[in-house]
Amino acid sequence: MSKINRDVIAHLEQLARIDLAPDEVEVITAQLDRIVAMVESLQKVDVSGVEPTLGMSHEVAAEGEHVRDDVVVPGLERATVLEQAPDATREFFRVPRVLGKDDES
Amino acid sequence: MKVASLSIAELRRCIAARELTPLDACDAALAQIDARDGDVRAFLNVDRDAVRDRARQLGASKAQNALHGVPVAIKDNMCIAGTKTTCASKILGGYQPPYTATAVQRLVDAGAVVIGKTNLDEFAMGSSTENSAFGPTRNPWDIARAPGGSSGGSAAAVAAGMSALALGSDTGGSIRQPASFCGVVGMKPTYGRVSRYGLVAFASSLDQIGPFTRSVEDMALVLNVLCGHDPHDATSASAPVPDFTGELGSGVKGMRIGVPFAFLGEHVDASVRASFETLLESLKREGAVITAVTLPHANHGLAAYYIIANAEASANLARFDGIRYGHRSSRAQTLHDVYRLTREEGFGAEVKRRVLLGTYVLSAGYYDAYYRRAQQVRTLIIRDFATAFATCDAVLLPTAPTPAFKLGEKIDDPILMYLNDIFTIPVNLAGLPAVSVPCGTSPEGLPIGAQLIGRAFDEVTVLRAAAGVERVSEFRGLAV
Amino acid sequence: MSTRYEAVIGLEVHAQLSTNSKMFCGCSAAYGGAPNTQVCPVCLGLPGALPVVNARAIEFAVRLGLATGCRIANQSVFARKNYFYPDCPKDYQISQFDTPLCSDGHVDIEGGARTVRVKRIHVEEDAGKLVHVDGADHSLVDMNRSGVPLVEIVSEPDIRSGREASEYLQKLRSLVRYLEICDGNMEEGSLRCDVNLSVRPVGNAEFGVKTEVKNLNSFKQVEQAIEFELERQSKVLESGGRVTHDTLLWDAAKGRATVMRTKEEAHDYRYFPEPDLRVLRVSDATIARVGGSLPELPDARQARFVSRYKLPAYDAALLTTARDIADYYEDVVKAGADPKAASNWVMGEVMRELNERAIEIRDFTIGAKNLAELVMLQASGRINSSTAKDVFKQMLAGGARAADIVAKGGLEQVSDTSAIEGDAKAVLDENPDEVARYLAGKEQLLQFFVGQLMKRTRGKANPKLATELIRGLLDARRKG
Ligand SMILES: [Mg+2]
Ligand SMILES: [Zn+2]
Repeated sequence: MSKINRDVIAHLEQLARIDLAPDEVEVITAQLDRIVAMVESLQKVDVSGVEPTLGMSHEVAAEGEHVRDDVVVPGLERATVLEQAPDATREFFRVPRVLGKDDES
Repeated sequence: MKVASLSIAELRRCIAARELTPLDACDAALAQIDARDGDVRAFLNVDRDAVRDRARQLGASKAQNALHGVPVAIKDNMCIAGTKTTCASKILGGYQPPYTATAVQRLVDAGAVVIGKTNLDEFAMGSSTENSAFGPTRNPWDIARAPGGSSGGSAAAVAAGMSALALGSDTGGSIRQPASFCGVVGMKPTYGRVSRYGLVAFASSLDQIGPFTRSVEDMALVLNVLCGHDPHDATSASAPVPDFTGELGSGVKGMRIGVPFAFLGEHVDASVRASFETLLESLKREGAVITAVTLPHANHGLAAYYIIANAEASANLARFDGIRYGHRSSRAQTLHDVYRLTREEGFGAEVKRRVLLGTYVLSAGYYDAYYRRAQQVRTLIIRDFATAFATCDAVLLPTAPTPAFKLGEKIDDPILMYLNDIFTIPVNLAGLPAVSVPCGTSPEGLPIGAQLIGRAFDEVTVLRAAAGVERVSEFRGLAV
Repeated sequence: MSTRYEAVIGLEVHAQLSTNSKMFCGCSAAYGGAPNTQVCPVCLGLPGALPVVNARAIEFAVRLGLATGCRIANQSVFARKNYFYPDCPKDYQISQFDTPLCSDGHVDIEGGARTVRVKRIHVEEDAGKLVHVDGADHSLVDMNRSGVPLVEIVSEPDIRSGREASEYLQKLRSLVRYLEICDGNMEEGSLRCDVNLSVRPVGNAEFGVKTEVKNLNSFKQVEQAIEFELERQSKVLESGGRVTHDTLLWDAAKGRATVMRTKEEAHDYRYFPEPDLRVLRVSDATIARVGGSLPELPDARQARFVSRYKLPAYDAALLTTARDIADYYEDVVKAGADPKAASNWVMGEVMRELNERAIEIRDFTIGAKNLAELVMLQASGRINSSTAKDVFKQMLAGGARAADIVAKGGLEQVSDTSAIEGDAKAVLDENPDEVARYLAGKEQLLQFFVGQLMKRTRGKANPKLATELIRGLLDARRKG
C-alpha cells in the first residue's frame, strides 16, 4: 500500500521548508514511497522489551564530564559574522519583514 | 622512487633525515594533482601558494612533529577558518567558516600541510560522489567508474598519489566503501574517538571522521595524532588514547577472526566473494582462527539507518536557511520564500529526498513506528556485535558487496545505491571501529577491500588484524 | 461577566538563568550588549559547531526543582524541537521533551491555602531577538540572546483566576530571586509567561478546549489576559459556539488577544533526542549537596518571621518576598531594633525609597546597623517620630550615622517640661484669639497649639509631653 502521495509530499515540503521543483515532485514521490516501503521491513522485527538506543556514546560518562564550567570566552567579531550573511546591516542580519511575533521558545 | 607515492612513514623518515623537505613533499603532491586531477577531479579547491608557503615555513622550522611536512587532503565538509567550505552543495554559497575543525587542527598542529579540499556527495549523502553540486569524482583506477562515496574525493586523492593522507567522514560507510573502491586504507574509528567539532553534521549519532592512508602503519600513525577528547564535542570520548602502532607487528597468529557467514551470504558479487575466500585461507595459514559468528539483525541495519540518519539530517540541515550564511534565493520576496526557495535551489535531489524522509519519520503520529523502532533495532544490532565479540577478537566482512561500479549506473535507483553500504552501516549503528584494507583485485583490475571491525575503543586489535590482512593480500600499489 | 463558567488555567513560565555564559557555549549571557557582539559558531548555528552543556545552568535548574519540591531525574534527555524562525539559528531549539530534569513539584499560594502543582521544569536555550522596524519591509536579527539558558516551568491546570495566576507568578519570581538563579525582571524578559486557559461550567470536572496566550510581559498583563480570555471563551460557549485550540497573542496596548495561529496551523515540532549531547546525569550526591546549600525559602522564612519576631502575617509576607530585603530586615533587628518598629521602617520609608529611586537594597545608602540606630533612638524616646523622619532623610543624603546627625543638630527630643514651659506660654500669649475660641469649646485647636510649640522648639519637643503641657496651661487659664 502506498504511503507517500502528493498530499503527503506537500505536507513534508511545508514542514521541511523545501519546495520541490515541478519536475522533481513526481520522481521524488515515487522514490520516497519505495524507500518508505523498504524501511517498513522494521515492523517485522520483534522489539518487545528492547530499549531504544539513546545517543551513541559507549562510555557511561561520569557526572560533570562532557559539560563545561560557566566561564565566558571571547566569541566572534561582528564584522566577520555579518560578512557571511546574504543580507545584513552593519549591526544585524536582515530578513524580509516578519509578520506577527511568533515567539517559540 | 616517486615522492608522491611515498607513505607517511617513509616521508617522515626522509624529511627527518633531510633527504626531502616539506616543500619537496608538497610539490610532488601538487605536481600529481596537475597530472591527474583533470581526469579524477578529487579536489574542489587547491590553494597552491598557501600550500607552498606553509611547506616552506615548515622547512625552515626545527620542529619534527609526527606529520611534519605531510600533505593532507580534507573532505570539504570540515571547516577550515577562512577557507571556502562547500559540502559540495550550492546552498553554502561562498561560505567561509570563521573557525577550524578540531580534527584538522590536530593534523596541522602535528605539522601536516592541508593541500586542498576534496569532493564528496552533497552533505556526505551518497555512496558514489556523484551527488556533488560540482560534478562527480572519478575512480583513479578507471575513470569511467565511481570512486565510491561519500568521501570519494579524499579516497581518490590518496589512491592517485595526490596526497599521502586524507580525511573523510563516515556515517554509513563513507570512508570504508570509497577506500575499498580506490584500493587504499580507510578507517572509521570508534564513535567519539575523533572530535566532530567543525565537521558539518549529516547524522550526529553516526558521523565519525577518519583517515585515508596507503598503509595500515600510516593509519596508526595518523590516529595517534587525530584521536583524543575534545571539550568542544560533548560526544567525544574521554577514554585513554593508546599508541595505535603498538600491536602492528604482532601478526594474526592465534587471533580469533569472526565471520558472519549468513549475513555475507545474500549480497556479495562473485569477485568480492572470491577474494574474500582467498583472504580467509591466507589468514588461516598465518595462524588466525576463523570463527563463524552471527549478526541476526544486521540485515535490518539498512532500514534502521535510513530512518535514524535522515531524521537527524532533517534537523541538522535545517540551519541552511539563507539567513546567516550561504546562499539565499534571489527570487525570495517574503520570509517564507527565503526558506523555501533557498532550500529548493540550494539542495540537490538526494538531499531533498533524505530531508523529506527524515521529516516524515519524525512527524506527528509516526515517531514510534519509525524513529523509536529504528533505535530499538539499533539496540539489537549493538547486542549482536557484543555477542559476536564474546567469541572473536575482530569481525571480518567485505567492505562493499561489489568493486567500483560505473558512473551513472546506480544514480537513478536510490535503493540500489543504498545497498552498497549494507556491510558498513551496522558498524555505524553500533559505533564501532572498522577499517577497510585492500585485499584483492577483481578480474577487471579493480581494488577490493576487506573490512575489520572491532570492539569499541579497541582500534589496536583492529589495526593488528588489518596489518595481517595487508601482509597476506596480493593487492599493492597506487593508481598514479 | 458570566458566572456560569470558571477558568481552568495552567502557566508556562520561562525564566532566564543568570549564568555568566550561555547554555551551550562560552559567549556572555549578559543582557543589553550591542547587537550581535555576544556570538560564536555554536550560538549562531554555524555548520559543524556543537553544543556543550553549561554545568552551572543545570545546578541552577536543580535548585529551582528542589525548591519547588520536584523530583530530580538522575538521567534526563535533551531533545531537538524543530521549527523554522529567523531568531532560531539552528532552526531547532535544544530543549527537553519526554525526560525533563525536574518533575512533579508544587508552589503554594494564598498563604498555603492553595497549591499549584508544577508538572515539570526543563532546561532549554533561548532564541535570538527579532527587531521589527516600523513601516520597513524587513526585520532585523540579533543573536546575542540566542543560547541564553532558560528553565521552562510548566504548571498543572490548577489555577482558577487571574489573581491566582498573578500570585503564582509572583511566588515563582520571589523563588528564583531567593535562589539567585534569575533576576526575575519581566521588562527585560528574564521572566516570561504564557497562559493556557480553558473554561468549563462551574461544577463540571471535565476540561474544555484550551487556548494559549503568549507575549505577556507583566503580572498585570497576565491578569488582564486571563480575564479577557475567560470572558471571550464564556461568550463563545454561551452562544452555542465552540472554542478552538488556537494560539493567541496578547496586545497590551489594546488590551486584547488576537489569533496568532489556529489549530490547523499548529506546529509539528518533531521532537527527537539531541544526538549531540549525552544523557544528562545528576547524581543523588549532587542533589543532596544542592539541596543542602539552598537558602531558607520565602514560605519558611515568612513563618519564622511570624513566630520569632511576632510580626503580623502581612508584614512577614511583604518582608520575605525578596531575599535581600528580608536579610536587611533581620540585620536591623540583629543590631538591636525592635522587630515591629524595624518592620514599620523597612516596609515604610525604606521600601518607598527603593521604589521611588528604582534601586536594589544593596545600593541603598543606609546600612542595616545605621537604620537600627535610628529605630532605637526613636524607640527610646530620644527623638520623636517627625525628627526621626528628618534624620532618615539626612542619612539618605549624607550617609552619616543617625546618632551623629541627632547630636550635631541638637535634635534630641526635649522631655523636660520646664525646658519648654516658657515656649508653651509664649505660644498661648501670641495667639489670644485661638485661646479664646478654645476656651469657648473649640477643643480641636489643641493640635494647633501643639504644632506651634513644635515649631518653636524645632521639632525637638516630645509630642506627648507638649500636648499635656499645653492642655494643662489652657486648663489653668480656663480656671483663671
Ligand atoms: Mg520552552
Ligand atoms: Zn556562543
